[in-house]
Amino acid sequence: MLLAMLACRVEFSPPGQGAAAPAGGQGGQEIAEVWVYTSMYQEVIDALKPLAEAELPGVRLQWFQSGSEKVAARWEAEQAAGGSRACLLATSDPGWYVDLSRRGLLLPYVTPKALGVLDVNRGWVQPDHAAFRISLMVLAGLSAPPPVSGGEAAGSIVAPPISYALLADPLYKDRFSTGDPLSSGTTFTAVAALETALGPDWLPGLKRNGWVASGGSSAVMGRIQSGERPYGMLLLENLLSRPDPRVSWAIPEEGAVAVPGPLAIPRGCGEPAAAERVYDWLFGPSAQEQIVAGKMHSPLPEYPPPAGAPPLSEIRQLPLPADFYARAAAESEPRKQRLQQLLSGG
Amino acid sequence: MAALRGGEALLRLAAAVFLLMAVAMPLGALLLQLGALRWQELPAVLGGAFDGAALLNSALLCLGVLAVTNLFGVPLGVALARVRLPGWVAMGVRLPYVIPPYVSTIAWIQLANPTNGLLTGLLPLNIYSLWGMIWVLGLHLTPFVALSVQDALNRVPASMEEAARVAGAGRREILRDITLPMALPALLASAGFVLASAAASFGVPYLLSASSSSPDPVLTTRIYQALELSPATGRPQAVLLALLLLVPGVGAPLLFRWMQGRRGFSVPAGGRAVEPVALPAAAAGVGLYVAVAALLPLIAVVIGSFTLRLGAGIGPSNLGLKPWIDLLSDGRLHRALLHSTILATAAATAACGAGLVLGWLAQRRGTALDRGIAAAARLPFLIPGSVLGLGLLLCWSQDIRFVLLDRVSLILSLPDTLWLLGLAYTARFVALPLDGARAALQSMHPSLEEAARISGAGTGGVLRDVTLPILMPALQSAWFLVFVPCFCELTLSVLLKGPETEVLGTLLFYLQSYADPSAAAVLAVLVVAVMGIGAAALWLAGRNRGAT
Repeated sequence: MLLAMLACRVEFSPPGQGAAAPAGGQGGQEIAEVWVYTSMYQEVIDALKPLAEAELPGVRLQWFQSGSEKVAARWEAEQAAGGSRACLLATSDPGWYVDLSRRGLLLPYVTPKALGVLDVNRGWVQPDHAAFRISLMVLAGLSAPPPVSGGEAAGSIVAPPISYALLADPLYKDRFSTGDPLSSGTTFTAVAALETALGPDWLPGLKRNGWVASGGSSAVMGRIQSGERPYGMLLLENLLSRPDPRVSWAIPEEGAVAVPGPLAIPRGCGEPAAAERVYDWLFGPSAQEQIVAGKMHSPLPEYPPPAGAPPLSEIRQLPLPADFYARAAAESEPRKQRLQQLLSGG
Repeated sequence: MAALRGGEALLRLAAAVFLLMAVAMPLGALLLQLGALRWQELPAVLGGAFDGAALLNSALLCLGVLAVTNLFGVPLGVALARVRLPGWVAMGVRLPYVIPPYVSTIAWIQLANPTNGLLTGLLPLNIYSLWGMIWVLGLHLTPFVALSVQDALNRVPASMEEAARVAGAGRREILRDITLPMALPALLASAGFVLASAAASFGVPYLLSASSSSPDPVLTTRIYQALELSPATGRPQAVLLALLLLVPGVGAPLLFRWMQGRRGFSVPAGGRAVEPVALPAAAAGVGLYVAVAALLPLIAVVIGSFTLRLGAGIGPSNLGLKPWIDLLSDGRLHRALLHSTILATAAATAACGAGLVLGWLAQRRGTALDRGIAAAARLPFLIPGSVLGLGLLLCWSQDIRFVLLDRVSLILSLPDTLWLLGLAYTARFVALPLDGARAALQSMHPSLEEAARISGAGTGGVLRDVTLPILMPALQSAWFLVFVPCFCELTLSVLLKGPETEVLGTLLFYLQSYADPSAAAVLAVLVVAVMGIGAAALWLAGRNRGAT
């Protein structure tokens, strides 16, 4: 009880004002507190903080950073409890935003600055959310992997795969891994895209070939580097942020899966006007430059690619139907059930 | 008598407030998630949640871990209590427990993964299997059983074993007929803890199962998947699966109480302790356990912390101090270290206080209400941290405002504060001191407390002057058992932390998952070092009391 009392804070106000103290700033200027729930890397957030302070007067940004799925779990729980303080959602699971949009939980706002994204990919801009960073799922592997230990190819050195379809080839049996599509939204999106493009036999082929699906891209990178699974499918940003001369990567023949990282203002945001300012700012040069410095691509064509990567316009992308994200979101539950059965099967 | 009733009423009120905030409201909020389902949705949710393979694997994991912990833990406990051991060996037995399971699993993957593990071929074990999970989790939890047995045996006065010896019993008969039966309550309490821990464990099964091409799913990994990929629709499924996890946690103590029957296990307090004997073979066995369960994974982690590039060998060109220099100069580490130290210390102390009160009420008063409250307090330990975290978010993610006279607001604002993390940690781990206190009280004859009461002491006085001093060794152990998981807690923290409340568990997870595994290894070494120092201090305190 004493501890509960200690955890309380006390506010005073004149009679009739309901004892609610307004947020104050320097010189009497009101400060709007805007909570951003995001999966952006901590390093990017740390770089954005001082810029936001200088360029967004009257706004105090608060960041909750975690993995996309944790952010979604927290926001949904808060929502179920009566409302979240989040005013911006910025994670990397596009399916969740389609679902939120379908449930009417997003404010219909898109910054005019996002119009340039329409020229790159029309599917990345929706009436209530738009991609403000792009991640690319590519193939990577040890340039000099350990020789194959069994079967007909025993003793031979196998070059890293150059297409997603090759992961189901016996040459790569028990030698590749991916992130876990059942716990990583980015991997789930990529797997759904590849299943759409490569057909329903691709995933069972992966399974027969000893598919290990665990963790996220960082875990895949670790398995490649250690040689435990010398090839894998992972996000380009992980390869660029931890460069290793022994690991080479390739844009797959089918085209890289581009996973958009959407930005949206959820309904219930207490500071919608300030949230719109932050939304605009995140599409502006300061934030976009930091996103590129964080090894992700900007969806806006005027920004350069991250160091070590070609521009988005020069990267072959996996062609997807215009309504892919909407269909993927609608089919996500049966797909998850199928994946669960497939991955659990011995 | 009035003081007695007043003291007890105050204790019950404090216990009730704690339980309401930390247990009843979060768990109630979770159950309401089920209540919100429409009837027509129920078959789909049930169908989605039920997974026979996960259920079977969880049961096998629990039984396997119970077998491993007892196979190693009982002899280790007897050796700790009855054999003269070198100091580092006696202290080293605690080490596997102080290495966070997340860290030891990564270490065992490096040591024993079937492709290129350092020990592959030497160990007849596929680490990416149910057996691997049993092995890693069993080694991690063995110290708990060993220390429980040791603690129980240390309370057995030498006179009991001497009487048996005088009556002609040999060493083996004494062990079988006198010593081990006296350890039975502690053994059964620790078995309950082991079963509940194994059932609710997530990190070890996830890391080992998911890394296999033929994964062995368990209930907690299914809960994780339900929450991760379908945060809205997956919540009822996660709650349903979490309810299944309550079966071993609630059922085991009932089963064990039935097994104990009406036998009494109390011994007179204050008797002379049994003198340990020199048994070199037993000491070597304990040393072997310490080497395999603690030193091997520690060496793997320490090497990892100096490795500049993962997988590029461990030659001089790939080793250096850079990961240490980088992390030690990182401000996030300093903040996280401070927060975790405060939280773990506060949560361990609060959990011990609450556990003592709840255990004492349940054991000494024993009314249905007291026993019910004690049983309820154990529930948060029996479900995965992610589910408890959701329950806490459902209850405490909004400010609660009390307006007085239209002028003064008293606002309970827990979201994103250390308070909420502290409440969560205390709720999750209060079961440990509670069980410890109940086991110790079972071995302590109530006549001492009755004598104090007849002499005029109130409830507070009895607890402070009689019960607490006698229970102090058990509570010290329990304090440490709570401090250890809180110091590097992850599953609750990752949901409940705020922008200014980074803790070591979330930092370790971030470094391992998104940043730099070498930096994560450095942090793991630091965490183990801090907890190793704590374990050594506790061991020294016990030795100074003459406990070892």
